[in-house]
Amino acid sequence: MIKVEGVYKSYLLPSGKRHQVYSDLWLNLPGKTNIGIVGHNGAGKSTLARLLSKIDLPDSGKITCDGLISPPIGLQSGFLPTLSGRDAAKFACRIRGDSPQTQKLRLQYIEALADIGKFFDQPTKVYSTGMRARLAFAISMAYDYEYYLIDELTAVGDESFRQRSDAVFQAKRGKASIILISHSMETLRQWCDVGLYVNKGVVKYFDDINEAISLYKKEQA
Amino acid sequence: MRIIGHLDRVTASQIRGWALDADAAALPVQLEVRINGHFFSTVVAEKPRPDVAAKNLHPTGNCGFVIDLQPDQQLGAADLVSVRVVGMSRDLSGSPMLCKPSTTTGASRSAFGDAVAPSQAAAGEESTHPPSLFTLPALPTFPAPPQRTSFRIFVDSFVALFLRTMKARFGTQRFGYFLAVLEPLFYIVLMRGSRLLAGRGGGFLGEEAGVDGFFYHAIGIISFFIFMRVFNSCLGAINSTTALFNYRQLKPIDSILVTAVIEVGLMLTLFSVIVMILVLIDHKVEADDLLMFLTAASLLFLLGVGLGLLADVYTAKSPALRKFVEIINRPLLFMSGAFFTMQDLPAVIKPYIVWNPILHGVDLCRGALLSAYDSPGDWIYLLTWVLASLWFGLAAYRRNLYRLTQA
Repeated sequence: MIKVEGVYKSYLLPSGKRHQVYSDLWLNLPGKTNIGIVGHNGAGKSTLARLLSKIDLPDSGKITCDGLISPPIGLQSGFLPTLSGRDAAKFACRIRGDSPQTQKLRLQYIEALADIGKFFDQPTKVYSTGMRARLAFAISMAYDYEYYLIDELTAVGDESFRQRSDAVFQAKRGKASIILISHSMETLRQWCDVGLYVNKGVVKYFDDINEAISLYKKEQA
Repeated sequence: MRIIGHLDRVTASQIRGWALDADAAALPVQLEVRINGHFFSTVVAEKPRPDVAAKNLHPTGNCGFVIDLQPDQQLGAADLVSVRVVGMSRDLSGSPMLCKPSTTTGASRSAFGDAVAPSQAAAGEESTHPPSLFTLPALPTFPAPPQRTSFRIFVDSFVALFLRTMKARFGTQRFGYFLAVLEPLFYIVLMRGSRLLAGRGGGFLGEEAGVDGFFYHAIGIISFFIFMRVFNSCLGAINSTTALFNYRQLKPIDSILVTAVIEVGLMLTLFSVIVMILVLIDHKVEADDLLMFLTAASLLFLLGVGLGLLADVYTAKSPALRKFVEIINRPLLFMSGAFFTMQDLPAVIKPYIVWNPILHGVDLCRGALLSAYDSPGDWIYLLTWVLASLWFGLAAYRRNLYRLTQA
């Protein structure tokens, strides 16, 4: 259960003006349900994700949640270009206070799930976008959250990455929910039960992801 | 076969959707329906669906399917329904779908077992898939993460960030460490060179104030650089870790402290190495009051952190202001006693330059190590500066924390 109560959010633009993304946003999202978020570029999907995961704080209003929401798993993952994927994974383990033994097991899991071969020990600056996505995904999936926020990540993956993420989601189903931002209607339909349609700071909730998708398609056309 | 279709709706009493084979649209396709992974029945998609025909997907639109469930077959809220074309390995889009509880039928009990937990249903569903090309690596079950105290979180974040920064700075560049100490080394050698040219201070390798000339100059220059490097490393520390704020545990102050500690560690290590080399080659070094030196060096470090924090907070969002700060702090090198003692100051400038707290810190460092020199530096004045800058720095940080973390 995620409750968004009267949230306002604006960003300061370099020109000094404020860009109001959300004004008085109220949402009541069910727990243990996979949520799909659709909307065109710049509609506020990622802002919503950052607000939900508490990386960005609302200007006013509050967001409450019955479980832990992961940081948005996306393409901006804060990897240092000169450090290897293994270093990035180690950093993630250390910052969460894993004991050395736990860290070792978790690294094995991350390496196996990311499956980028010898590139795991290469600096992340030589990674392709897909490899970076795999690494970010694997690191996040090594931790237990009640909600996994996935921001456009599945779009860059290939077939094998898709199978991997399917298998992981399948295994997590029932224990954790997925909040998926995607432009792939196929993926959304496959994984999400309920839908949010974001447009110009207005978020509409639908009990059925298909309704959100059809509204999105209608307004796009 | 090119299957298009969708599982539209699953309620307690009905399953409906549509499916067609785009390569042979005239022939209706046969679908198999599974509930919680167990085979339930087959159905032929041939019911009229004007909406599908309207989208020109099907010539006649006769491609829908509806299964009306008998009263003894009603679905429960957690039942998972999957539909696929007979013989295909992939489900229709929208499948599997959980049953939506319907308010009209009072059926809370499922005919397919009491409210199957979604995880079990998913497991059952999965077992009916053809063996996947990919097997998920097993994630061992970890003990529940300990409830960490906020101090523990700070220590963990600090250590993680410290190791990461060290590795990025020194682990990947071959001359990383050397480049990091090049600047103070350069000034020390330069000072000796100037003595050589001026013919004073016993030439390049001579002694000054009763100790080796390199040691003598290293004191002033390194204690000045303790302040300068810490200050400069704080500038930009917040921006350089913006990407890392994805880790909610990490606060900007962590990155500031990490870089400051690395810089002061570097300077003290450089100083120790110089002293050790001089001892090895039997040159005269001296530590009159080591504890006093460490106190003065700590005060310079804290002054660097306080002023650096203050400057970074207010220049983090303004690159122009940042440049300005960088330019005005350059003359500090010549005004802070790195190259001269406080005692030797000409009377003309002395009344003005003694306002500089860094000069006091550097001179106190020198006075503490050399028995032949007693520093006129003022501990109270320096300490006041340290406390005031830390207070203002931390207050500014606290006040702007929200603004800084919003990328």
